Order: sequence, then C-alpha cells, then structure tokens
Amino acid sequence: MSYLSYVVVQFEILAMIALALNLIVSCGQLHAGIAGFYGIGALTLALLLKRVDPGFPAVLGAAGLSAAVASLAVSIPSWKFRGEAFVMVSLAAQVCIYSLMYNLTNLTGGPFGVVGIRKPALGGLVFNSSQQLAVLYGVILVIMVIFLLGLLSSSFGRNIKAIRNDELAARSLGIPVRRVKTQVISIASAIVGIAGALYASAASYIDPTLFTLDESILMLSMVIIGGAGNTKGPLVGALVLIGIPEALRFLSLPSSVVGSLRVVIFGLLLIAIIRLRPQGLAGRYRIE
Amino acid sequence: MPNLQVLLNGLVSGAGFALVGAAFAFLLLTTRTLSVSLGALYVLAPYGVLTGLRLGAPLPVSVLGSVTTAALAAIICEVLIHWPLERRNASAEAHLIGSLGAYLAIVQIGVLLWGPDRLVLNGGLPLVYALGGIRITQPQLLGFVCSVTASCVFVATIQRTRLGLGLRALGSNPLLLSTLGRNVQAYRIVAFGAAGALVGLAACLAAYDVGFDPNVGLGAVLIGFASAILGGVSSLWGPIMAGVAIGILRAFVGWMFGTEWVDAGTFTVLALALIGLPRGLSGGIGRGRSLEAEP
Repeated sequence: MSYLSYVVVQFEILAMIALALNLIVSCGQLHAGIAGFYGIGALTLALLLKRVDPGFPAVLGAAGLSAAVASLAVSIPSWKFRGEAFVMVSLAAQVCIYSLMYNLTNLTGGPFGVVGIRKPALGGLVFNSSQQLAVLYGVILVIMVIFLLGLLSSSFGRNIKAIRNDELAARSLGIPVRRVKTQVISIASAIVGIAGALYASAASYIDPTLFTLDESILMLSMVIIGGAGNTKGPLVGALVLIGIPEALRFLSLPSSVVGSLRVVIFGLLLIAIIRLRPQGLAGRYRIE
Repeated sequence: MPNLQVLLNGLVSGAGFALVGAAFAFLLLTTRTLSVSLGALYVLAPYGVLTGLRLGAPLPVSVLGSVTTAALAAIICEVLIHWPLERRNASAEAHLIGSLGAYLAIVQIGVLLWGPDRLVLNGGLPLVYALGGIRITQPQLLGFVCSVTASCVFVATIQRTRLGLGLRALGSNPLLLSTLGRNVQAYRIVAFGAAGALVGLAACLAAYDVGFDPNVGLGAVLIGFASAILGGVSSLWGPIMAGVAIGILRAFVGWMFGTEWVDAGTFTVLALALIGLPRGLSGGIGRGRSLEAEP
C-alpha cells in the first residue's frame, strides 16, 4: 500500500510538471530547461521551512513565486527567439541555474544538498505517511487542473492558442504576444516550482543532481510522448515517465542499469512518436 | 604572463570548439537541421578510441576508426530520423525532438557499455614544452594543430571543391537541386557524415587532453549552437572564430572566478550576446530562415 502511494505521489508531481509544460507548448514554445525551475521551487521550500517557517501554504506560494520570477531569464529571450533557438536558450538557462545551485554552497548546501526537510503540515495536521501525501497532492493536482482548464477556456487561453497558430496574425489582431508569452512561462514556472516544493517536502532531501539538464529533457519528453493541447496527453506522458522505471523494477536489474535503460526507452519512444504519431499518445497538437 | 597562459589555454580549447561550431553551422547551412544527436557522438567518440587502444591499435588508427564511426552514426541518424521528417516537411522542432531522442538513447547505451565514470586516454604525465613563461602540453599542442588543420581543410573543401559547391547549393535551394537531377538525400548524407566526423575529431582531441565522461555532450551542443548563431553561417569562418572566442571566454572565466563557474559564466555571457545579436555577427542562418521571433 505504501509503495503504491509512493508511486501515486510521484505521478501527481510529474503530472503537475507535464500540465505546466503543456501550457507552454500550447503557446507554441518548447521549454527544455524546466528542471531548473523545479529545483528553485524545491530549494525555496527547503530553505524557508528551515529558516523562517511561515506555514506550509505560504511556503508553497513563495516557491511558485520564486520560480515565476526566475522564469524571466527564459521568457525575456523568448521575445527574441523562436523554434529551436528558444529551446537552446532554455537549455542554457537550465545550465546556469544548475551551476548556481551546485556552487552557492553557503545558500544551497551545494553537492551535499539540504537534508531533513519537513513534511507538509496544515494547521495541526502533519502529512507524514505516503497515503496522506497522495491525498493532499491529489487535491492540489485537481485544483491545478481546474485552474488550467479555466485559464485555457478564457480569453487569455484563446490568445495563447492564437499565438500558437499564427504569431503574426495574433499580433495583427492586437494580442500582446510578448506579454502573453511572458505570462504563460511565468504561470507554468510557478506550477513547476510548486511541484518542486511538494517533491522536496515529500522526499525530505534534495540536492542539485535532481535538477539536471537530463531531468529537464525527460520532463519535456512527457508532453511529447503523452501529447499536448489537452489535459489527457500530459497526464498520459506523466504516467509513461513514472511507469517505465516502475515496470523495469520487476526485471531484477541493478539500479544503475534500470536508470540508463529507462532513458534509452524514453529516447527511442521520442523518435518513434515524432516519426509515427506527432500528436503524442493522447494529445491534440501535432508537432510537425 | 598568467594572462598569456590563460589566453593560450583558451585558444587550444577554442580550436576544438571551433570544430564543433563548424559542424553545427554546416548542418544548419546545408540541411537547415539542428541535430542534438551530434552531442551524443561527441560523448561516444572517445569511448571508440579507448576501445581501439584496449584492442591494441595505435592511437592514430583508433582515432581514425572512431571518427569514421562517428560519421557513420551521424549518417544513421539522418537516415532514420531526419530524412523521414524532411520528406514530410516537418518543422525544425520535430527535427530537434527526434535528435534529442537519439541523443538520450545513444548516450545511455554508451553508459551501459562503458559505465558512467570519467576516463582518460592519455595515461601518465604528458610532455610539457615551455616558451618563456608559457607552457603547453603535448596533448594541447597536438589538439591545436589537428583542430586548426581540420578547420582549414574543411572550409577549403566546402568553398573550393565541386562537392562543396553542391553542398552549398543544397543549403541555398534543395528543390532546384532536385529538379536538376541531383540526389538531394546523397548530399544530406555527405553533410551529416562530415558534421559527425568533425564533432568526433573534436571530442577525441579534447578527451586526449582532459579526459571524458558521458555528461559532456549537451555542453558541446550548446557551445556548437552558440558558435553557429554568434558566428552566423553565411561563412564557415564565422562559427569557427566564435568557437575560438568561446574557448578564450571560458578560460578567462575559469581563471577569474574558478572552474566551477565556467558553465554559468559562459552561458550567461552567451545568452546576453545572443539577445543583443540574435542574427549573429555575420547575420542570418541560411536559406531565408530566421530564429528570431516576430518583433
């Protein structure tokens, strides 16, 4: 039961990230540096809980806010770049964030990370067990899904879709393209930052190796394999990302082999998807 | 004197980056493709040399074999990923995602075969040559000479031969080339093979100097892409010079702030430079294509 709850918690966190990436893809951008913002959220929660502790909801808000502010490092270049150039800029931002997390040892703990991060607590209730965490994170995930569905069906959401379909035409219709892109990347980064904070609180330990470039690429893979443009696609992508290593676990292979094999399978899936099913397993937008 | 030593170190590593930059720029110029899978070849090439050495082959033979294998691997990526996407007129993002998949799979297959640890090709202390207060090691000298020679031979081949003319025509107007009866896919295969060989050679030379591990690939991709954008691809000398400049920048960042800040410092400066010069120093990235968003 506790193993299943652990897997559910991991899925819920990945689902939040996939939904956030879906929002960015809906705006016509591919963000390949999202793990950096996931790390910023995780680190914000870890440091605030250790030093100030203004309460769990406030810390979650701060984690989202810090990731959203940091996302300006990616969204401002997005005014100038598009296509693969934007992808490379987001990769470069990820390298810089990772480097800062690794080297600012006084603040972040550097390679030793932060240990003893407290579990979520609301009022007097502490969410210690993985079953409790699965319920709490499930509620947060549902709130995020409702928020994103509302966002995408609002006039703001229509602006996002217009930019994706034709940026120039969107501008000619008076849509403030740069502002919308910045807002989309900020909102998505805030969601990813909150997901990072939830991960840190569940795992009780973080270090910079959890937020590497490879993780960013695997996270991006979720919305490509699962698909983008609806809610189902990112959720399927998260399920695949969490399902492959869990399935490999039953093959009794060494953990180092499982880690590499998982990435090999993901790489091959990416190639197969982009060649055979550009809309992903359950998505709506075709990346072609 | 320390400044001159840092400059020399930067020039040596920059000469290697120049090869990587030339490879990325060449592919962008001729095929309009940004192939991240070249980063995987950058990771795998030194393992090829190591395997050759362990089998008893001399170093030059091992390097030649590894560079040839890198060229073949790049061609396989073209045949299996990029050409099918090109035939259905897929977007640049689709090419990028397909090559990202290849990158992930190839690098991790390498990790499964050779392990994740950092390795060296050049055991023992290298020979050191001194000129005044400046020192250069034998691997550095070898790397610099080979990189400069390879860059010159490559640019001369592209600019002065019939094959080079055909490849540039591929970048300029592939439809016309096809209409005139030329085999566009064959030209693309040559372009990918050449880019793979350049990246493989750069990786072998860098590994002979400072060692290698499976995590160097995406860094090489970022540097190669940044060189291509900063230098522009209207002339291959642009990205080559940009690669050298990046090598020097990294050397000075490492000297002033410590080696742990090299990546952050380099990519911050590059991001600022790219924001200021999104079309590169020589402008454009070929065939009416722009990476700039609408103003």
